[in-house]
Amino acid sequence: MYSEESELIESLIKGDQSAYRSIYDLYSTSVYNTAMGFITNKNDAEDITQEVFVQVFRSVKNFKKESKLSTWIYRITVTKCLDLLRSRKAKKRFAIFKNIFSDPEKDGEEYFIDYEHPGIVEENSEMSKTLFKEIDSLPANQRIAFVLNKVEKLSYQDISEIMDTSVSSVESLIFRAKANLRKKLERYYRE
Amino acid sequence: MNKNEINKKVNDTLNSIENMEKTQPNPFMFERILNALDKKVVYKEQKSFIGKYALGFAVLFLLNIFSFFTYQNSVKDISNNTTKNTSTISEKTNKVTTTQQQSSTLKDFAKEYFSETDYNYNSK
Repeated sequence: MYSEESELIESLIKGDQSAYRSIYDLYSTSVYNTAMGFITNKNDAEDITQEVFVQVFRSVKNFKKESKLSTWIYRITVTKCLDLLRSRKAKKRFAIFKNIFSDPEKDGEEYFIDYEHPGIVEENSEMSKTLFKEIDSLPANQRIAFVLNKVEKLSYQDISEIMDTSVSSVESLIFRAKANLRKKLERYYRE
Repeated sequence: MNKNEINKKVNDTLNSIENMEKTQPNPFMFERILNALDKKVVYKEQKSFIGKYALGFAVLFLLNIFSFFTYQNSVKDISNNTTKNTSTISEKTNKVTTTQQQSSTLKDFAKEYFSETDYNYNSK
């Protein structure tokens, strides 16, 4: 086991397999759960987890140690999640062309988002699905701050380091996210 | 639902993720990561995503080219037909003119060689 983060990074740079395993054991749950908080699709969350660790292991030499290793890993995770969300939106936009030139049933490419998080207790499952659906429509910054705070239980300080912003900005983002979610949920339950 | 019930429901929904448990990824994830490190990961899904839209645009482009050439050909046909019609009309006009000229020549001939009593060259 590595006592110091810097020792761990040095071993990673040298290509020590046991260092890879240590990093994975330390951060895989956080990465996977953060991805699930953004994406709510198990397969995509696993793909993102893989991409994050591949990037960490490949570019650890470029890690400048200006922040904590965990901050860096969270930052990569959030970036990968946002990239996937953007590509999902792009796919939706071009769905009309896709329907003209392919048969989704035949190709088996029908993409389904169930908004189901495996970590939620069953009695809250329906409400959490509704909540994740509304989180999906939040602006990117509010979404990041809200998910990191509510799903990952990170402090405002940690979130401000990940998002490279001030603590007061993070507070404001989370406040606005909650207000937006409240409005959307009120509209949803009124219907 | 009244306003109080809606507020309660909204609060319950916002708090539904409060006691969320952390879930573990696939137990074979680490091996998957090591495999991906060893080889270049080919994003098949992205390729086919791009490929399908590229094919779609290529088809649209070819349809436009085809329409353009079809239009060009139909314009040429129309202009050829117009020229034909114009020449036909002009031929007919020439014939009419020639016929009229022939008629006045005949009248002059009749005037010169026949007397008034023999041929009434004013009659139509």
